[in-house]
Amino acid sequence: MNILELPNARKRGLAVQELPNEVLVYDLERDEAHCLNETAAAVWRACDGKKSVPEIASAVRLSLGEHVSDDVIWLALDQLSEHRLLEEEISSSFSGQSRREVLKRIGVASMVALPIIASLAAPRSVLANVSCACAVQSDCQLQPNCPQIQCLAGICSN
Amino acid sequence: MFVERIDGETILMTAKEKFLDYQIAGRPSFAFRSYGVRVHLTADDVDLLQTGIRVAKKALVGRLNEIDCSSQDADHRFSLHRSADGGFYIGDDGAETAPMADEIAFARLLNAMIRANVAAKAKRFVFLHAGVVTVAGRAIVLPGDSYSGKTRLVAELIRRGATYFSDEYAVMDERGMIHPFDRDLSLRPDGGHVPYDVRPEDLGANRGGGPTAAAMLILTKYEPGAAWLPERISLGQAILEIVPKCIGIASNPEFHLNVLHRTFECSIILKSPRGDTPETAKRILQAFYKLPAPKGSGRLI
Repeated sequence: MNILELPNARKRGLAVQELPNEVLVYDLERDEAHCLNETAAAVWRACDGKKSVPEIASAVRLSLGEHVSDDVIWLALDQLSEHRLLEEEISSSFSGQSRREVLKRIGVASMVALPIIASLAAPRSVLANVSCACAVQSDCQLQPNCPQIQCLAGICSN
Repeated sequence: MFVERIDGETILMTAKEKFLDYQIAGRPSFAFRSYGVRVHLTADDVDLLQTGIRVAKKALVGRLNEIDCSSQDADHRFSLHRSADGGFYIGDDGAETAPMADEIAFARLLNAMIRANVAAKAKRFVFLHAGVVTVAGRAIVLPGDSYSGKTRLVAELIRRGATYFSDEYAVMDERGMIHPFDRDLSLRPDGGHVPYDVRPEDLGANRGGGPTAAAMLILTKYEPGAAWLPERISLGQAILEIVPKCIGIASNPEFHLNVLHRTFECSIILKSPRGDTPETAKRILQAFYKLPAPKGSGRLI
């Protein structure tokens, strides 16, 4: 993505829960949940498909009350894109640098918390949380703490 | 008069009623509603149906009411069958399990399937896989996967005076209040996989109570040798961690996230691995007693 592109937050197929200083997003198409910290959430909210990255930085600055560099915005956009929370995928502006290197570089200078998006998959099977009961072998594989070896007589056993 | 005893309850049915029941249904059947979910059970014969009813009552801790409901109108359907080789298998809304030779295994799996499907299809409740105890009318919620030591920790907390609510589900309503799901505790012997039931009363505890607000949410998992060193985590991080433990969240994530938010928005949230169970239970209760009293209670907890 270049600087002229206008990132647009995805709205379709998501359930959104606003929390104090965080946003929870559930992706209905992928059955994944994401937790956006305050900075990531502010960037996501500002992605209206009309603002450029510097304009998003201004909007986030207003919302958080602190200076926010373009690098911080790019870091957030990079993660939002990776988690499919933007309408269109963007390519990282940190080509040649790992996210760890970028975090190290901008983390020291940043006045705001760095954007973080944590994610987890939700189980699709209703038998995924039933004390190692199973109907078929795959039910045991969905319960990571069970012995998992095989579904014997209705219970995951080894 | 037919006299049927199901879980200590006597059901009287005239021969004519029994006969009509067969004539109309074609197969012995029973329908019930639990947590708003209508379930239809049919079986190859009356004995098997009685087993199914007994299992359903146990699976749902007696929280079911018989209803008049056809198979077509039900939210979920189970059919119970005898296989040609003398075993059993379960029809689950069209799918079938593999045959099981052992009636105990059949009952165990049916119990889990009824429980899980009611939990997944309940529209006005969220079922979180968690242990729950209450102290002074406030809940401590301990989400956990199977084999995470959840029931052992619950057992230790109730030995220390907490009231038993559940070792399986935190059942939350739309107001964010937690309801008891107080089946007998299901403990596993050391190194064993097949659980056995323990009555909370045998551990000196009371069980149940009315809907209760959550005071603490404890995210912990047994790790040999680990020390209980809790850190506070944010509500969003906590909800993210318990999303995979919510039964049926995929069917209505908006409702689930909203209920989780309401339930835990005023809770203290702690996370730590844990080793020794009695020591952890002691530390959790110590932390609980340091909490400020809820507004308007006029007492210290």
